[in-house]
This record gives sequence, structure tokens and C-alpha cells, in this order.
Amino acid sequence: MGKFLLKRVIAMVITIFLVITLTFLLMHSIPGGPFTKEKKVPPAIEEALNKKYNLDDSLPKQYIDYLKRIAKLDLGPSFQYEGMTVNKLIKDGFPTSAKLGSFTVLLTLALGIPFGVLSALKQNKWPDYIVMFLATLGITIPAFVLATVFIYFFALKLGLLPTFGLDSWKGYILPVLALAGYSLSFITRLTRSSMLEVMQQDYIRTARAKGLPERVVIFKHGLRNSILPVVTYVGPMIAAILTGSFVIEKIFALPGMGRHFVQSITNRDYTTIMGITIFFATFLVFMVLIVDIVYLLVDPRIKLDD
Amino acid sequence: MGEKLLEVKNLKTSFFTHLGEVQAVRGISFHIDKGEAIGIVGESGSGKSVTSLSVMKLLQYPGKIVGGEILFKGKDIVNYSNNKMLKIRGNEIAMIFQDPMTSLNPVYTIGNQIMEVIIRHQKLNKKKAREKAIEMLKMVGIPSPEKRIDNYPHEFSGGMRQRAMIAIALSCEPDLLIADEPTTALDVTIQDQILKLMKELKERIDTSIILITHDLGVVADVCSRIVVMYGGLVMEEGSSRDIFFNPQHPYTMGLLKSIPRLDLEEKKRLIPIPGTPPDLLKPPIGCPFADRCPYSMKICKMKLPEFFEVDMGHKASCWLLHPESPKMKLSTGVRKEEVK
Repeated sequence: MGKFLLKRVIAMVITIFLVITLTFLLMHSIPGGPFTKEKKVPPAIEEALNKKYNLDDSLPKQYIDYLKRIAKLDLGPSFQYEGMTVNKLIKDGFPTSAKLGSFTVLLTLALGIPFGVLSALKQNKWPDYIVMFLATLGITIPAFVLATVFIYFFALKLGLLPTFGLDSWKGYILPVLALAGYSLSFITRLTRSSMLEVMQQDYIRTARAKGLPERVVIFKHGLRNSILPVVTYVGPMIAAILTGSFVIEKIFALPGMGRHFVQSITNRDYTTIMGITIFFATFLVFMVLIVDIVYLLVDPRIKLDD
Repeated sequence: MGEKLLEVKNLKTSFFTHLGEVQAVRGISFHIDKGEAIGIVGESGSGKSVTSLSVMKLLQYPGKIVGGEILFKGKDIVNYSNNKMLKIRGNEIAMIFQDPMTSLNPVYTIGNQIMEVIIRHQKLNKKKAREKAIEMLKMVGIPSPEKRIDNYPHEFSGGMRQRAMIAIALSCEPDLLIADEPTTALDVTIQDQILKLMKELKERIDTSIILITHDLGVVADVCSRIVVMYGGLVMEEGSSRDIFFNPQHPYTMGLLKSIPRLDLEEKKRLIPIPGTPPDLLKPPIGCPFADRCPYSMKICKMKLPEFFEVDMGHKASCWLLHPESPKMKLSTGVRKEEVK
């Protein structure tokens, strides 16, 4: 186990390094810079700003300097928000996004897996049709449409829930629902198809031939075998959902970190682009590691390649 | 004749597919006595596996028993509720399947899968169940069972997995063991070991066995009686001696000839039966074997023959046995040197 972890951590560091390098190069290859504005900044000021943030150095030097700084876990100052560091930006935004994301992930798993199982067991009967109809809607309708429809009905028409903000627990309901729509539907479909396949297996017939009641057949023998594809999807899904969604945070005016993914790029806020990307990449590779460890727990056939 | 343990009377099982009703089993009758071993023999699609799943009432949608009776210990179980069947399955009637590689759940240990059935039916606690599971593994010939009990199926070889399946099936000392092609997926040497083991355990825990196979060679050693099935019907039934040395139905003869023989020259070693089994979506009105039968007569395709009793307990469904049918010299596939 120790050797496995060490190997994986090394691989993770290499992956993150590649992400940093690629992002750095791509970022600098797009035209414009952090101080390019609609209203032209006088050349002298722009030069002074570039000098202040070492943007007048050669690209290789900037790259090396950035790596050195990253090694100290310092993501640098934001070019867009004065007096803010990128570390602070993430520290301010992430808790909100993560809280919202955690609820979303919990809802996704708590509903997606049971719905998938139900749908598989009632294949081609009305519960299956209803669940699959909703799941197809959930996958095809974009989150912003879902969010707008929710606001229209629950906030404007019925006045039950606030249209924006997180002042009370009620504020979480609509964003979580809108955020969960896609992944919930996806997990439902994934669980259903996986469960359908597993329930056709010979060992399910064996379990029935043993005289085990159907609930044991389904939950002990069926579910554990059909959960693997779901685990594979859930890892990266958690990373994506917990780091926030630009669309949802924009619509519900939430102070998360999702907006930085898009805004930092339009602003050419170099350090924020890098910081956010690195943060997400690290989170993602870490989740992939967790997924691999969960695999080991779920399926004894999967062995660590020592 | 002993006490009847299981009696199947005119059993009919169909699968209701979107193409129509596939009549997999079209009215078969047979019985098995206490402590007896019988073989059900026939090629793929003859309805043997469907028969066994009907007895266990484990037919998957869209399969359904549409007629007949299944008397187990004198009670008709056809209309038993699922709850009632749960007490019979694994406890009074156990089953082992063809492919031991896929019949065990890959994510649980062998021990877990044996203990599960013991705890379920014998109400033992975990510790006692584990002891019993070790004892069962020992009985089926797994070396160092106290260690192997914590292995997962993928750590067992094919033969060992089938042994483990037998251990699961016999752990509650069932009255009846249905073995559906238990050796088909195994090497020949392992086949032999598994058959010997089943024979030995049959005596030891006094279980009746229904051995289902397409290979007459497999049943010869284990079973005292053989039921030959084809096209969802019983073609011939008799003691193993009757079937091997005095076959009456041309299909039985065909099966005998398709057992490979090493004592003959290459071309005569194995004689296949030409043609394919009938389409049970539109079952023939006459004898299902008529199209492939070398002795087929006009009547064969028009009317299903009744059973003609050849001897005590030996009967066959073939028009050739009718008193008015022409006497023909048949190629029976019997090995002459063995009829003594």
C-alpha cells in the first residue's frame, strides 16, 4: 500500500506539473494581457505595471519564477482584484462552492443510485419509464435553463424560496437542485444500466438458487458489483462540483469560486488563471486516487500493482 | 421402487417473447425417488435447463410455467408463493450450474458465500456457520480449508470453484440436488473428479441427484435412470442399462453414436446427428425428431407418438415401436462388445 501511494503521489506531481506548464504556455499564447483594457492605458503606465509584476521578463524566466513560487504554495497576487492574492481568492470562494457542492453530491448519490436500482428492477414498467424520462430531461436540459425555470416557479410564482443569495438554508435549495440536475440524471442512468447487466449474471442466479430473499440478492449481490462504474464517475464529478459552477453562481449571485474559472480568463488575470487551474487539477488527481482506493475496497479482484 | 421425492407431471413451460410463445417444455413427466440419481440428457435447446429452472421456480421473465404439476414430497409447488419457495431453495432443493467461473460472486469470499446459505436456512451463528463451511470445504476436497475459506473466487481454479459450488449446494443437506451441466465447462480430468465427488457425496449425505447434461458419457457412471429429452419433450426413459444397451428411440441411438470412441477408425469414431433442433416458436405437430430421423415415416410428421412401454420402467415415444410399424434393422450405436 505504501509503495502504491508513493508511486501515485509521484505520478500526481508529474501530472500537475504538466498541467502548470501547458496552462502557462496556452495562457501566454492568447493575445492581450492583464492590463489591456477597452480604454487604452498610457504606455508608460502599462510598462510600469508590467515591470511591477515582472511581466517584462522573458517567458522562460517568468515560468521558472512561477514554479519557484508554486513550490512555496504561493499562487501570487491577483492582477484583477487589487490587494488580493490568489490564495485569498480561493480561500474566500471555495468554502461557499464546496458547501453547495457537498449538498449537491450528497443529493446526487442519495437519489441517483436508488433511482437507478429502482429503474433497473422495474425495467420496462412505469417506474422505469418515469425515472428514465426525468433522467433524460436532466441530462439534456442545461443547468442555466433549469435554474431559470426553478427561479420562475419557486421564487417568483410561488414565492417559497429566495431568488438569490445564501442568507438562510432555503437559499441552497434551488442552486443545489439546478447543480444536481445533470449528475443526478447521469448517475441514475449509469446505475440502471450497470445494475441491469449485473442482474443477468450467473452469480445472481446462484444467489436466488440459495433461497436468499430478493432484497439480499439485490443489495448484497447485485449492488456491490454494479457500483464500480458509478464510483469511476463520482470521483471527477466531486472535483468538478465542489469547485463551483460559473453559471449557477452567476444566476443565484453566490460568492463561490466558480466564476473565477471564466472571469480570470476574460480578464487575462494570469495568476488567477494559473491558481484556479492548479487548484482544480490537484483536486481532480486527488479524487482519482481516492477512486482507485475505493475500487480496492469494492472489488477484491483489483490488485495494487506493486 | 422407493418413495417418490419429486414427480413432474405434464409440465409445460413457455417463454413469452415479442415474437410469440416459445414452448421450451411441452408437457414432460418424470419422477425421482429418494436417494436416486437420474440423468436428463439432450442437446442444447431440448428444454433440460428450463425443466430444472422450472422445478426451482427460478424462471426469468418472460418464462412461465403454463401447465402441469411439480410434486415435491407430495405437494404441488407450482403455485407456491415466492416466500414458500425461499425456504425450499438452497435448503431442500439445491442447484449447481454449468459455469463455475461466473456462478460465484466475485466480490465476496468463498466462505461468505457458503456461510450465507447456512445462516439463512440453519439459523446458526456466524462462528458455527464458519465451522460448518470449513467442514464442507474439507468434504469437497479443498486442501487447507481453514485458509482457503477466506479466498475470493478468482483465487480458486475452475475445478475448485465447482467444488465450492457443490459445498454451497450441499451445506444444508438438501433432499434434491439439481446439477445443470456441472462438468461441461471443466477439463476432462477435472470432470471426472467432480463426478466422482458428486457420487461419493450423494451416498454420504443421502441426496437425490438430477444430473442434466448433453453428454451421455457423463451420466453413465452416476445415474441409475436416464430421461432423454428433445424438442421440449421426453423421447425415452429407462434405466441406464436400458438406454445404453437397448435404446429404442432413434434420437437416443444418435446420442450414443455421438459419444467419441477411440476403438474405431477415424471416420466412425463420432457420428453426429445431422440437422438442427426444431423451432419451438412453431413446434412441429408430429414427433419433433422426425425431420432428422433416418427412419422417419409419414405418420411421424403428422402425429406425436405416445409412449410405448418396452420393459418395466423403460418407455419410448416413437412410432417404430407401434405394433403395426414395419420392422427395420436399426443402427443403434450400442457397443456390442459391452453387451454381455
